[in-house]
Amino acid sequence: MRNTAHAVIGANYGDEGKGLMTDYHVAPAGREGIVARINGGAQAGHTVTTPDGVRHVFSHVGSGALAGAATFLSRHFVCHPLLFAREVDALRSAGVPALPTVYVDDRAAVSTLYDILVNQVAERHRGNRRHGSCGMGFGETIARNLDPEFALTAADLRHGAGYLLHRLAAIRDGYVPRRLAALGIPAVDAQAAGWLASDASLQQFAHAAMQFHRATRQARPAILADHATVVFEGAQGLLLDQDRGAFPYVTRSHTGVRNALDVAAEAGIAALDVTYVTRAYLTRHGAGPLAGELPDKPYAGIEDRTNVPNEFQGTLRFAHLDLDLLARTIRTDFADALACPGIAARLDLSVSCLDQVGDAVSYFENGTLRTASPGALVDRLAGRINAGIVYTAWGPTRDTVRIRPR
Amino acid sequence: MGGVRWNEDDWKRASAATRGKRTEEIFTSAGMHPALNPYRMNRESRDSPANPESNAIIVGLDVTGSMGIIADAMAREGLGTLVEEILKRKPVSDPHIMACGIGDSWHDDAPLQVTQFEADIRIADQLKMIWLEKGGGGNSHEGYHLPWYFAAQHTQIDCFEKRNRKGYLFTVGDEEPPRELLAAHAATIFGDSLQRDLSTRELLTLVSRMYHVFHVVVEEGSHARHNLPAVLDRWHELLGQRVLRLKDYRRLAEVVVSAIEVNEGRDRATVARSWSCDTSAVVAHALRTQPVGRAQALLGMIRF
Repeated sequence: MRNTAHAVIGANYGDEGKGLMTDYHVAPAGREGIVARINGGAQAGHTVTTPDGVRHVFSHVGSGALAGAATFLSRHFVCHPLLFAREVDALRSAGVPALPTVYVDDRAAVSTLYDILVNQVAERHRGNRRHGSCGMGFGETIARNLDPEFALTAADLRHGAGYLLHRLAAIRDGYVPRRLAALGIPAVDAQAAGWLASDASLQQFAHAAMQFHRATRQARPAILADHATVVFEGAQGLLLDQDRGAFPYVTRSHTGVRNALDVAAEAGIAALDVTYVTRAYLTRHGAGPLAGELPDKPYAGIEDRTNVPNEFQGTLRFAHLDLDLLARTIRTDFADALACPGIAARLDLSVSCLDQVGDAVSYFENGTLRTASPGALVDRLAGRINAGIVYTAWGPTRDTVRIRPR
Repeated sequence: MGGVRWNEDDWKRASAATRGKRTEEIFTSAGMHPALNPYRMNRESRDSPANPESNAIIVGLDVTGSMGIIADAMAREGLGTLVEEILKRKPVSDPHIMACGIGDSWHDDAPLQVTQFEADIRIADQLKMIWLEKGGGGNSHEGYHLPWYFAAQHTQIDCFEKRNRKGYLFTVGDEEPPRELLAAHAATIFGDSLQRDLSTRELLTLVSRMYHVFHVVVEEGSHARHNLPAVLDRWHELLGQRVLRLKDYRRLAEVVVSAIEVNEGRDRATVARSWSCDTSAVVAHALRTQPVGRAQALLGMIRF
């Protein structure tokens, strides 16, 4: 292995083009490459379109799989057996018959059906004070795993279905009522109560978890050293970080470079090129503040097949980029990498969706709305953050990515 | 973000996974049913006004891949017929029957599944829930000792506790007995912490305190078809005369009932003759290592 790895980090609220840049970085290595998921879980939706037209939205599998790259689900990732099975099916119908190897750190948390249930009940209970959750139980899984009595990790799946059924029943009967009470939810409706009581769903989930266990291989970060190219794929964006975003409209993980540094250190990686990714405009899918929110999409060329409206997140929302906010956000996050002993970090930038904005793109700087050519916007931003390599993406596929001369 | 969803339809599908499906689909897709999970579970066979003199009978069926289609036929029909036959002939008074699905403790998700003890055909509902994992591995043995361990450590039976009468335990399959129960497997399958591994012979001693233990070798199973002498040797070495050879898998019920009757003291030839012609031959084949009558039984039989 080269001792250098890439990290791909979303700079905003997600949907920046992380799938595209992950695919771009790992594709030259093909089967020799590996993509490590370092935060979040299957609620991610990273779209990759190959130059020959295969399109897939990655959620549980690393975004390098279409290029043949393996996946490493690190201990900061939350596994979701039901959604993993669904993604494997989707990949198969997209024309990927044999999934490249998926490695799982045995310390990674495992989501259950009951985390989804509590999440959805709680988000409905909040009514119009929603947190912008995807409704997949990601945050609930993290909360539950803080309690050793009810924690479930990939290592637990090694013990077989009997043990798992026992643990799940304990979560259902011991944890869920307590958690609902703590969230101030006195009673669930008849439908949710029925789902909760169903032995069939318990059985089906345990079965999916065992299938997940059989479809994956347990490993530690050292496995990364066996690969020619390593890409750490971040999920969500810096503005949704649990510590740095605007609570409570955040995700329950570190969305920046922090987890990548942690896994890289465990893997013995000495240098990290961090690609911060943004679109040429700002988007947010889900509840929470969005400064300067526009009534509609700002450019006629914007097309988004991934962010379809849903009950929990509503429709995709838009604003212009604010270079001051963006530069501050990126520099704050990158400071973690600079402060990390033993790892040499470089700050790179990627701006995507440049093909959608036409000849003139609007953005805020020093509180003023300005207009410039797409190239000038990229140069301005790169200058503000003193970027090393600057990538520009002019379409959905890796062959539209260019390195901008500086 | 958010390419995947778990919505109301998914919930409905999951919670009604077994409704409106053909039984084949349920058996092949659903995993172990929570109600059959032996993990930290006990089973009781208790006397009741309807069954004042209950007798516990456990039947464990190998459901691994080596049994092939026989596993399907035996699980779906054979076990049901066995229960009906026991209830009809009553080789012992007030039979309480528990069925087990046996897998492989090394390779399977569900190495053991256990029903409740039932006194009537209501057990059929639980038989339907047994998952035919059809796993197993490259080894030549299956977890036939798992019902032994479960029976010894996790069953309470009134026939033994109140009347000092042993229950019956039959395992049914085509492979060899395993050599030991690993402490690690006891932890994951039963939730028990053993201080060391237990040899199969130790387990036999343990379970024989409360149960008469028999094994039925399914000669048509793919492993037994190719390795019958080795399979029989290993079982005879362990169980002596209490090895029953089943040459027609559709006659499991008759063979088990006959073995109980002979063990209860009836004459071997009379028992074999009590069945119709072709069944009679199968039963005679199975019972040929059994003692002819009560007197010989006391001479040759292993007693604990």
